[in-house]
Amino acid sequence: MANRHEAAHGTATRSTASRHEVQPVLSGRGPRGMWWVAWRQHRVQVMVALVVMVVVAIGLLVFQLVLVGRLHAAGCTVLTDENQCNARLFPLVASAYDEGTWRILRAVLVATPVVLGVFLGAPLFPREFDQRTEVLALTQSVGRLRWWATKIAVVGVPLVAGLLGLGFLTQWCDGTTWFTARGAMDDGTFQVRSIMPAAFGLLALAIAVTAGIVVRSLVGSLVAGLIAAAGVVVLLAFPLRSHLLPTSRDITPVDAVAASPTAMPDPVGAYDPGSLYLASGLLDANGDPISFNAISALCDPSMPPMPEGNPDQQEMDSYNDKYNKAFDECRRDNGITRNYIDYVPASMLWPMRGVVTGICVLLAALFLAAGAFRLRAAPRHSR
Amino acid sequence: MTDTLVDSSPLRVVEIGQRYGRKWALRGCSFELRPGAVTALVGPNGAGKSTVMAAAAGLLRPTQGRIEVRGEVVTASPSHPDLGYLAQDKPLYRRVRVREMLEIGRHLNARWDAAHADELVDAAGLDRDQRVGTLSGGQRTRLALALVLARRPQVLLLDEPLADLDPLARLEVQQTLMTEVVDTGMTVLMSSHILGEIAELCEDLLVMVSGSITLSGVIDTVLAQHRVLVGPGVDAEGLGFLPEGSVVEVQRAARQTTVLVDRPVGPLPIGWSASDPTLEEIVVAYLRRGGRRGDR
Repeated sequence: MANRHEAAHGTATRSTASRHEVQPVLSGRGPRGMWWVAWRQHRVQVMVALVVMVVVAIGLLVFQLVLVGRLHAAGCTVLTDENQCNARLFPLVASAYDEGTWRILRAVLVATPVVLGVFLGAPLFPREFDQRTEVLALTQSVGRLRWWATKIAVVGVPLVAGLLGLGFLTQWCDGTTWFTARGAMDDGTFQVRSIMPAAFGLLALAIAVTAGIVVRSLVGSLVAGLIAAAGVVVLLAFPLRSHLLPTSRDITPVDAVAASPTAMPDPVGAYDPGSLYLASGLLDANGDPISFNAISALCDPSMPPMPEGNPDQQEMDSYNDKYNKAFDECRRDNGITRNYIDYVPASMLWPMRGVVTGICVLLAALFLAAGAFRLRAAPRHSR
Repeated sequence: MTDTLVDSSPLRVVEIGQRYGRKWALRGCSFELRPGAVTALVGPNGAGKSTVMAAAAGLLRPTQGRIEVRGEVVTASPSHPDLGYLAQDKPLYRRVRVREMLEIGRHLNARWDAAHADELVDAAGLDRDQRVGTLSGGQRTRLALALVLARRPQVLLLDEPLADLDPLARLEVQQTLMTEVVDTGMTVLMSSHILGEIAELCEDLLVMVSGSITLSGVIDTVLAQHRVLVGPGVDAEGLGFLPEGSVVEVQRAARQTTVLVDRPVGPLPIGWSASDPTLEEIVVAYLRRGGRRGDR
């Protein structure tokens, strides 16, 4: 039998000594060396993501400096409330706050966690599947779970750390003026401060990673990951968050709040600008919210008729007085005498952050577990 | 061919089945390798050769049965530490340089013979600064082989290692492989389409058709056992002199019948002659027979 080998190998012969087992050579670094391999594979993406975060942070700092300058220029103090700011100059500051670049910056801050999460997560596995390098990696000393977890950690840890930095930088920047410090629970502010960008980034990363494992193509997983991550994060970050915690309702008599019964009530009671406004209006006799349209439909029959022809101003004023009086009377007769305002109190800021972050972490864990299961349950090879 | 150092077979496949949806890629597939032997795994495309190798490497979880490497049941990755696997397309990270690819190998493996990897890369004449994606097919195969062999495997699975290589590259890879086999006494399972390669490199043979093994044995024994009989044109009754179950294949022409039998046959009737078949004739007959059964 050895003749075949000798024919192929020239003069080589199989000695008895050479049949002994090869002693292990311990210069290998696996399986822990997977960290090095994963970093070598994904370092460019991680660096790009960190550069993007630094650029956004610089934009944030520059804009905040501009805003501080405008507050000073407007004769306003930087850290105390707006009552000390000259009302005449207030619109100038407000225009600075609302101008396009600020809106764009806020949009960028909201989008950054999702975009970077997908950018880092989606290509993680499809590239391996495409070049079949998962076959190479998984037939060495590295287990499937370690391979999967290390790759995710190598991009996930810098992403979450960077977004935490960006979130707390935003919080700090917003706190440098009374103008930007307000409304911590408002849309566009809640989502970009403190731990929230990191939570949303983690969720987006997990969704994109699993999209990559399921879809298996780079472009497909980028598109699917972006759509799915944006959808889930936007739902959770905007409409759903207000339903996750108990809300407060302040009720006040209509006449104590508004001169006209048809006017929207002003914030009253415990409501403060740091709260998350949900809804306001009038309550019927049963204490349920009732719309102005419903009240109008109720009271229309008892309203005075409009003056005929072309009424002058005096006739119209007289008509309006009569109308308001009749409407007021009708409203009282129907027991509609109270205003309400629903809101999430400002004191719920950290509980809300905690609940939303908890849901993000839980969903991320579920998505990642689904991806791991898919990798484990349906390993493939090309032929 | 017994190995006194290892009690169990280097690789034992026991009744494994692999199902993809409703289709079975492997079914009732069993074989074991002799320690130190180079075994050819031959079969048509889709026979299940790559599937059985991927399962042995821990890339697939068989639907049924089990695979043992040196007595240990194979589970999902990582691969058994004594097993090396080279996939047919020799997957490598294309964007990295040769030296980085070796570093990756070192970082992915607990057991790594860096000096041996360097030797093999030097022998292949590879430029360590060249990007893997720019290597020729032969160079890529030799780099992939260096990565597998630096693991110092006791059992080596090679999935069509010589496919797509030009004759010179094929010869070089063959020489590398055989040098390694002679030096270390490792057990090798090599799938191939090319019957010439088998005769040259391998000692044992496994023929696989439709997901199961239809012929296995030491090649010299297989050759010695089979006979080609040529006689006049006869029908099935005319073959009544052959022992039951000995016929592998019958080919009939107008005035001639050719029969491949799997054991020596006693005195032949007048008009019949016997000769030794080639390995190719035997393999092709088993592939055709298996194909016909698979088609039914």
